Amino acid sequence: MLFNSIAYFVFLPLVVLLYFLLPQQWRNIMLLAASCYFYMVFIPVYVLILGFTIVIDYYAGIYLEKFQGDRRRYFLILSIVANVSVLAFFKYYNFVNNNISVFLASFGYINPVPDLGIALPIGLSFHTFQAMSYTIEVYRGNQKAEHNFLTYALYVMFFPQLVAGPIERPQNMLHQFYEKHHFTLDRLITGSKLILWGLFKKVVIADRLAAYTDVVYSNPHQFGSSTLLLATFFFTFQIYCDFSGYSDIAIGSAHILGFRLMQNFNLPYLSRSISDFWKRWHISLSTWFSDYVYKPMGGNRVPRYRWVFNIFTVFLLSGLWHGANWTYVIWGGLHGAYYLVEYTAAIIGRKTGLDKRIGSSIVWKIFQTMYVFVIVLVAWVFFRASSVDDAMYIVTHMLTGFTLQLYTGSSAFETVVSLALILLLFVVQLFQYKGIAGIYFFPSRIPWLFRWTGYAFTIILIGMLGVSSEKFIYFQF
Amino acid sequence: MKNDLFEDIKSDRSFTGNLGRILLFLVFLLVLDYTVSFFLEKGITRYYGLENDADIVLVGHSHLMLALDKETIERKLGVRVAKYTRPGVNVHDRYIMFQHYFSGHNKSPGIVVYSIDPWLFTSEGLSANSYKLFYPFMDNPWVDRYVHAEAKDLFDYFGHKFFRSSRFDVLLVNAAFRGYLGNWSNLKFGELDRAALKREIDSGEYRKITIEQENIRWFEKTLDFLAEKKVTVILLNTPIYHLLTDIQPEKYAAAMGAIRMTAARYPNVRIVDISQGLSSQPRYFFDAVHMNPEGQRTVTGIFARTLDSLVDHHQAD
Repeated sequence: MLFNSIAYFVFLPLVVLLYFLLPQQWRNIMLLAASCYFYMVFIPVYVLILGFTIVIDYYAGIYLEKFQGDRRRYFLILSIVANVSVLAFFKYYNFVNNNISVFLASFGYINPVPDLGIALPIGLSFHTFQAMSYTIEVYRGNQKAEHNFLTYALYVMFFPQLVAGPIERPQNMLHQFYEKHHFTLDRLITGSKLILWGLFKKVVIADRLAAYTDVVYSNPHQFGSSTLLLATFFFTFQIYCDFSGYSDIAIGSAHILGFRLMQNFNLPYLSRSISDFWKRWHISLSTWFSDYVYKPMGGNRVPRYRWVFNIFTVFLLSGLWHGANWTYVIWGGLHGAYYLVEYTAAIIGRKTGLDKRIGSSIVWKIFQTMYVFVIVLVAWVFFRASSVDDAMYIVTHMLTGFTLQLYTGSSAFETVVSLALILLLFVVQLFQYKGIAGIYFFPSRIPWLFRWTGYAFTIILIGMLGVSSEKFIYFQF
Repeated sequence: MKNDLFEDIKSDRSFTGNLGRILLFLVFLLVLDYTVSFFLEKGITRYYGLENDADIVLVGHSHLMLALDKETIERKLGVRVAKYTRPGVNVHDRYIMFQHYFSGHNKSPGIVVYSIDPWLFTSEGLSANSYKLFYPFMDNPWVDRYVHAEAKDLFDYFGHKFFRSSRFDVLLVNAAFRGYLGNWSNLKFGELDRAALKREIDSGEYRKITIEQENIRWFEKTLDFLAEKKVTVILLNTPIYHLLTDIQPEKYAAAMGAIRMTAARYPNVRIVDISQGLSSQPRYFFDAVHMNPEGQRTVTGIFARTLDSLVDHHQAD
């Protein structure tokens, strides 16, 4: 079920009503049934795949707790292999097979193994990562094994974060299923406000921008530099509004039910460094990679060459996590390179004393923010392009041979509206950055009349400028 | 038996205050919604020229929208023109547009101009769910009945009935602002990219002409309705860049023949074809079917001269 569908806005109130009407012992059962329904609206049979990994990880958790020594390690490996295998089979099989075909073709051979003609289960990368974090934390002794099967299944399947995160940790989530949540109107209001803002970002900004970027990126060779640049600029905001909008709706929905999901975005385009960007963008994934890949590899407490290897491994894996295509790998690699260049520049800055001389100036801070935005924008080209060839064409042509011949979309006014919406988003985020407007559930310092006008206009603009779309970008991951 | 939800509500000290705030906000939202929709409706009514009785009513889709300049016609002929043109409207929509116009005006216009082209009877490429085009005019009882009958479900109908600003989309917001600014200019600057058009045609990506009987029936129904209203109908064929019609000459001839044959049955209908001579000149086109400002000036000039005699004739009557 899509968060931006009418069905969801019937489903959510019904679930909330039932949840608070039912006695405590029935609430988790109802939530699990609702979550199954939510997931099965997409492709019903895929719930069996989820069921398979849930059963494996549930028992792995219990045996991890029960046994000591090497046997514990075997159960952890079993759990990780089961999850990664499902992910590899559904997500990476065709990718690997295609690359084998290309490799064999270069020697004049034909790959006899056919591709799989099946759709990727929605949100597979999200719930497998969440499941793995459970067994790893039980193995590390940071989390007790969950002995109630329904509660564990709900931890993986909780509908607000089932298909696109935030990727939760068992320490944050599992105990919440045992807490008794009380209905409060205040939480209904604050949760609804977050849902409203998420919906606005998704249907008014992201899907409107998508109409432009889809046309340009589906055939980039037909467009000139200014169009390619504008399309990439639009995509930079489209992906942010699409994914952060989803996260807002997820967090807001859970909040109404009394659950606290982790913050997934924190004004990433106002970052002043790439490392700062990754502390603000898809926080639940970057902390996952940090906790379960980077730190176990030794983090930064290793020789310099190993550290560089660790950084690249994490970023390349992060790229591959997003999709089975070389474009995603390059996107991850670019961020790894940015990170290392930035690290080197910081060392030079410290040694020469430049950081102290200009580090606190406002002009320098603005420059840093703009520089991070631009390099992130360039990397998004690889994320969005259909192929490496397309991406290379766009990168090499959007910054050279500048021409004013601009594709103005289905109408010039719509393109102007898109730019105005980006400006509006920027102003709101600047207010949030300065602490004037509330972010997530933090209070706002804006007078109530302006706030109410803002909420009312948000609703009106959703009704008026909202574009109906059948997908969220991150569902495919 | 105690119920948790009711217990929660009882123990929620801020419940009454918050409920009051929600209700007050809903009232605030309704007032703002009404104000916004009122402002936009007035704007588009001005833009389409529907606020007053007109002497000439132009109905069609984007071809006509960009081909004729209403201000030039008004200035040259000294008449009031309603240019009720909307992107993508098909023959059925145009029937509704005429119904809408006549249901809201007591005085009948002397002349109506109905845009024709070889795709008049082709559904593909034009609006689907046409009733949505009429959301903004749901306060008109005739349009309201039409939307009610066509809406896909009750939520669709009542959602737009009560949440008034949702009746408008970005194109209508644009039209409303232009209505207030009195700006009917053709803003499609630039000239047809012939190489790109050639590529599209070579790859088969052009709009095929088809003749669908259902569309012929709606066309006849419209002409019947206009005959009842005793108005002179001009079927205006505006220029289309020749490559698009040269690629399908038999279908072009068949479509125009079907229009001529239907029109011939109505004494109040005449066909004005100003595509000849202009359709081979790319400088008049923004793309293969839409005129740029220069093309619009030329087409409007020719059409105004044609209309001149008709207007004199009507004024004499």
